[in-house]
Amino acid sequence: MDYIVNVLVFILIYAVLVQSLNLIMGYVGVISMGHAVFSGIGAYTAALISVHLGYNFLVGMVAGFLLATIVGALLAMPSLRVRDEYLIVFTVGFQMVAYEFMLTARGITEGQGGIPDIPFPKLFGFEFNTPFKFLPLALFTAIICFAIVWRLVRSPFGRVLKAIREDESACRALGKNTLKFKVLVFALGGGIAAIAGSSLAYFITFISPVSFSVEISIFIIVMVILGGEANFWGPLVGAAILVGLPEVLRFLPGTAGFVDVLREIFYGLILMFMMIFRPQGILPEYAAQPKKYQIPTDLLVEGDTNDGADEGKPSSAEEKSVTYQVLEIKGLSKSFGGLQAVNDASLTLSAGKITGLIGPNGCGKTTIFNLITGFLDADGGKVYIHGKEIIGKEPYKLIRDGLARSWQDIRTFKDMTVLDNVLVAHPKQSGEKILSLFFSPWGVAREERENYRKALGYLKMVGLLDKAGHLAGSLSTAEQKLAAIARLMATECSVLLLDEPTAALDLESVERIIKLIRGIAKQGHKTILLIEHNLDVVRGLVEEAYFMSEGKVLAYGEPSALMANPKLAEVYFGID
Amino acid sequence: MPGGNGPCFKEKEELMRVLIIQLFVNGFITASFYALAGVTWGVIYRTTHIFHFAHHLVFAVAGYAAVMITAQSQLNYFFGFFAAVGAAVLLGCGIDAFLYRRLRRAGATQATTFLASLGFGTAGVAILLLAFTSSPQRLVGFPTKVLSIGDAFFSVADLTMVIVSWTMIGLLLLFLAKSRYGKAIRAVGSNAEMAKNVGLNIDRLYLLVFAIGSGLFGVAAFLFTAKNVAYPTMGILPFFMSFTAVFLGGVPSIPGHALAGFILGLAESLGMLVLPGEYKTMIAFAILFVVIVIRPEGLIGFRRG
Repeated sequence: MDYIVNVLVFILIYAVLVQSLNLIMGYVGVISMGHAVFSGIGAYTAALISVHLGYNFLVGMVAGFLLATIVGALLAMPSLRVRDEYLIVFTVGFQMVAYEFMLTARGITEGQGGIPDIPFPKLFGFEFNTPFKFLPLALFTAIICFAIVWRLVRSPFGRVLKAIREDESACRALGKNTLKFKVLVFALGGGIAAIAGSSLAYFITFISPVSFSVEISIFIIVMVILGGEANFWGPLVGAAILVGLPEVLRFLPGTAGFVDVLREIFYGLILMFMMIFRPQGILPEYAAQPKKYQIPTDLLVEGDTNDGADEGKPSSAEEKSVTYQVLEIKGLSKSFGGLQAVNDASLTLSAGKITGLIGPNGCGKTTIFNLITGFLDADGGKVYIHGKEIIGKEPYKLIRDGLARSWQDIRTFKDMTVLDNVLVAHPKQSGEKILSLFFSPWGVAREERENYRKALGYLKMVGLLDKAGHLAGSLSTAEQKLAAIARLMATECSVLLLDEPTAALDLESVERIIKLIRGIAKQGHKTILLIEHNLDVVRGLVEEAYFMSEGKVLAYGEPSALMANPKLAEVYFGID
Repeated sequence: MPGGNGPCFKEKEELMRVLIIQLFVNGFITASFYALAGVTWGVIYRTTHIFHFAHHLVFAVAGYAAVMITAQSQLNYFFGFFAAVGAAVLLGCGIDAFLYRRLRRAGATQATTFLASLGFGTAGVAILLLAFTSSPQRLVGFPTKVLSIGDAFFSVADLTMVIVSWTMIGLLLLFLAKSRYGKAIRAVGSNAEMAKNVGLNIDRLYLLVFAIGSGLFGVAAFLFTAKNVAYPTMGILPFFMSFTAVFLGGVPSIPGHALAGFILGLAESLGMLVLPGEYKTMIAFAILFVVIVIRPEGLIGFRRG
């Protein structure tokens, strides 16, 4: 009996550890190869505090949590700025260095031998000194940690995390400071892992570096994968199977060493075969819900016939004068090596108008978008929005200035529902702040209800209401483009940059999108800059357009007048 | 006793001088080895962008192949060399053909492929442990003579390591620069989509790259085993140094990987002047961390548009 309880406690402790990595790997989608170190930080901090200072175990746990949080943030801050594969490198390095430290810093960690005789936790005179007595403590700790993660991932905060996982650039373009989110998650994931580590230290009353080696880090990864990434219950399943099952192996004949080696082979093969045959794990991300979310239809406003486009409020300036210049671009330049991609380009956008940007392939249109929205650094030139200079600003800050963009390659968040795709785009959500999530839950819930109402309105406007609960990746290209427009509307920006919204679509869908964009500009009072190759679309939507070639703005005028110019037509159709 | 400190101090100074010379020589040997390790993973990663973690297993299998074949029926260690290279090429190509290609077809992400590679490597090392136990195995018959230049001492294995490493790096660079296949590999590395469009067979090129990278790592494994011993986890440290070198040098530049590996080796050896010897990875990691924070594109890499 004691033995079974013993295994149960281990499963609970590991479930917490695995959940903390699931938060990082499953929800944000970055791999940490050094997660065991965070549990090590918790374990050593707790052990040192309890052994040397004799403080209560709660002090040890909290101290370990705080220290691991700080280390997690420090590790994440520089390394998350570079691309994801660097993170593997950094965390492998972190793991190896930390392990070396545990082995060699004998003055602190007592080296290979480890720290023995850690006192059992005590609370109000009750000592948790047997597996049976420890079980409620482990269960309580696990419930608290799981509850925290539950709150985080089922909230606007968790929605942003998933959006980062799906497409970080697109998420930044929606005004989210993705770096901040990643650092927060690394810190919290580290902290929760430390809680598991200190629980382990207090349970077995002895710790040594082997419990926090790279093998353990890999073991935790295997458990996340086996259970199912980004599934809330996955960690419990993964831990139950991989901690519980090998205990059965213990009854096999053979030495302990032999069984350990068998276990390693087993873990490695599980990881490999899961990746080949079932990368989504035993419990896939959306296993808990039906394929379609239940749509809260009571939030839908009936009789909303004007395409919901009245969501955007006209600014006072737009009412004053029609010729008000919302966006001004002056002398923008960018070169890649020897190639002058954009050469002294100047454009202005008038309020409430759709302006076209046309030109042959590779003439620098998308580069201009990337320069305006901060995804590329300009070599020279200025960009003003409502007279305010924005060049050099980080992409996520531009949403606050009322500027949003769409992407040529659509970039919906594919493993998220269409509704979540739109919801995530709402600006200034208090539910994206951890403190509000835990300390003003009612305010967050109220705001969330309002955002649901708005999001459903946008989906109705683009005609995707019946697909709201589907995963965006399961939609057709045309539907994904519509979803992307709904997402763009949700940013509530007044200036929209649209990059080929009708490319690769059938005629019917093109018609639908033309109507939609016209509605957005007219009723929604949006100012739009449109990159488009389909000249019919340009003629149908745009009064005036800029013509670009080889990075230069060559002409400005009515689209049909531009195309009637034999010189420009020659450039456009590429008759060399 | 007056003046008694003089000779003693002199002796210390002399000892320090000899120590520094020896550390430089050791550093140069290790640095040559890391430079070779760097380009082996570099040529694979730069071309395929697969985070080939099982590379460390390739190293260990090659090491054991050398030991086993040489020990079998008292063959010459030359056979061991070819066994190491052959085993490495077979295993490396096998991993690409049977694991990575399959994942590629299924549209797996870089993370998925990495995890599969991690799993394979972990299982593989455990199997080696089961087959050969953790006790180290020597390569029999390799000359153990110690040579010296001035105050610096080194073994035949050390000298071989330096000469063979730089020869291999030179041959690789020459191959990439001059041969038709080498140019194709460089084209794939800079733009896989474009290479596919001009009709290069990606699968075959990847196989070639895995053969080259693994074969050269097999050479490194032979050199390592000749100098040290073979054991199941022998590949971890060289592999750690190789991918650290790749990111330190900058992913696009193969000479950069060699240079970065060289810097890591030298730093490791000279670091012993101030730190205890166990802090090898710490020095490498510290260098990488500082460089990447200041220059994310690496030492020789160029900034992406």
